[in-house]
This record gives sequence, C-alpha cells and structure tokens, in this order.
Amino acid sequence: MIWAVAQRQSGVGVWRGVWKGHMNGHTVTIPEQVYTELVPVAAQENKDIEQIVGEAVRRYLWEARERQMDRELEAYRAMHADLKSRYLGQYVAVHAGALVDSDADRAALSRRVRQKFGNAAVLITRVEAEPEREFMLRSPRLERGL
Amino acid sequence: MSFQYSLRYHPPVPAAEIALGAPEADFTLGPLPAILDTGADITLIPREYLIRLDAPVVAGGFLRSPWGERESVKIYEVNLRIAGRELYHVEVASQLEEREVLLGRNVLNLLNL
Repeated sequence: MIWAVAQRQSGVGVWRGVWKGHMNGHTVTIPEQVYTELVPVAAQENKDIEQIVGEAVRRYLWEARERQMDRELEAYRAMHADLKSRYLGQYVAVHAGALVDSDADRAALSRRVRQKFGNAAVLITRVEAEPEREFMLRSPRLERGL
Repeated sequence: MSFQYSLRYHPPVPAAEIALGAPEADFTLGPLPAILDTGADITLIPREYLIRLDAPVVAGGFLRSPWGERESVKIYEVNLRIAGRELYHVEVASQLEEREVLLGRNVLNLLNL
C-alpha cells in the first residue's frame, strides 16, 4: 500500500511517498505548476492527492507493461518456428525475450508465472501454426437504448 | 443456465451481471452489466475496468470485425464470476472505445447455457 502526503515546501510542490513495508521512504518532487493544477482538480473530483497520483502511476505502469508485451510478442514471433517444432498445441511463457516455462494446462502455467513474476508482462500463449492470433467479432455493434 | 434479454438495447440482447477480479485476487469489481455475444470469439472488457483491476497483460492479437477490418489488441487475464460460476485465468481483450463487457464464446462455452 502506498502512503503519502503532499505539502508545499518553499514554494515547491513536494510529493512525499512512503512505501510501507520498506525501511526507507521515498520522496518525489513534482513541479509547482503541476501541484498547483492538481489541488483544485482533487477538490473538484472529491479525491485525495495521493489517490490521483496513485491512479496516474498505476496507469503509467500499465502502459509500460503493454510496451514490454510488444517486445515479448516480437521475441515470440522470432522464435515461433522453433517453438512450433517442440511445443505445438502447448502453452508457453515468454519473458525478457526468452522461453521461461511451458505446460499443457494454461491455468497451471499462469499460476506459476504469477507466483514467479508477479504482474510483470509475461507472454502466455498456445503455440499454434501461425504466431499471430486473430479473433472474429461477427456481430455488428449494438445500439444502447435511451 | 438461462439469461434474460435486456431491453436497454435495440434490438434487445441477452445480458447478465458479472464480477471481475485480477488473477490470484478476489472479485473486486462488480456487479457489472454484460452482453452475451455468441458471435464473438473472445470476451471484451472496457480498458478502464482492466486498469482498475491491474489485470496482467498476457498476449496480443487482432480483432476482425464483421466488415473485415483488423485491429491490434492486447490480451489480459482476469477472473470472472457469472451466475454463481467462478472462472479463473480467463483471456479477455480490451478496446479503448468499449463501454461494456461483451462475453464471447471463450466464456460462454464454459457455461451450461
């Protein structure tokens, strides 16, 4: 859990964040202009500063993992021919550009991956004839009623 | 297992309430309205829900529309509860403009409809 306070120090917006469970805390300074804009937004949206910063950091980490997944997908495409010869029909896990695990049971593989890598971007996919997966959406989009 | 049609849509569609959770976590999001779509290969979840869950990204792929358009998407993993059934490590795709959950055949095939 992130615990944090925001305060002004010498005209500078200072974000103090302490990661509980660690002996050392961390302080992050945000620019005065950002802080100044953040305060009324927090009031308007009835949110705490720490909640807004927490959401922003979470979104950044989310997008960073998506970028990492792009690299894992690129690695998977490069090694697909080799994987197909050895793991066709099975599930594989690729992390940091390397095969890290495999299983015939996707759920079992996923559980092991989460235990070992947490929420990090790890490609988990069934090895099929082609490296790219395509999903059909056969229904036209629906119109929400009034 | 049967589901009512929702009259919030035109034409009415079969719908259900679901709850979502991140893998290895509780069902923290829901109840959420969801549309049952037997024409969809995979379940679609609004991106905002996935961010709130901190659902892990696990793959990539392409969505092919009825008109042949192809869109690159990421695949995520969630736990999903529907009609008392709890499904774990379910693959779902996200689209930016999605406003509601669309339950595709990767979920529907696991239910006794």
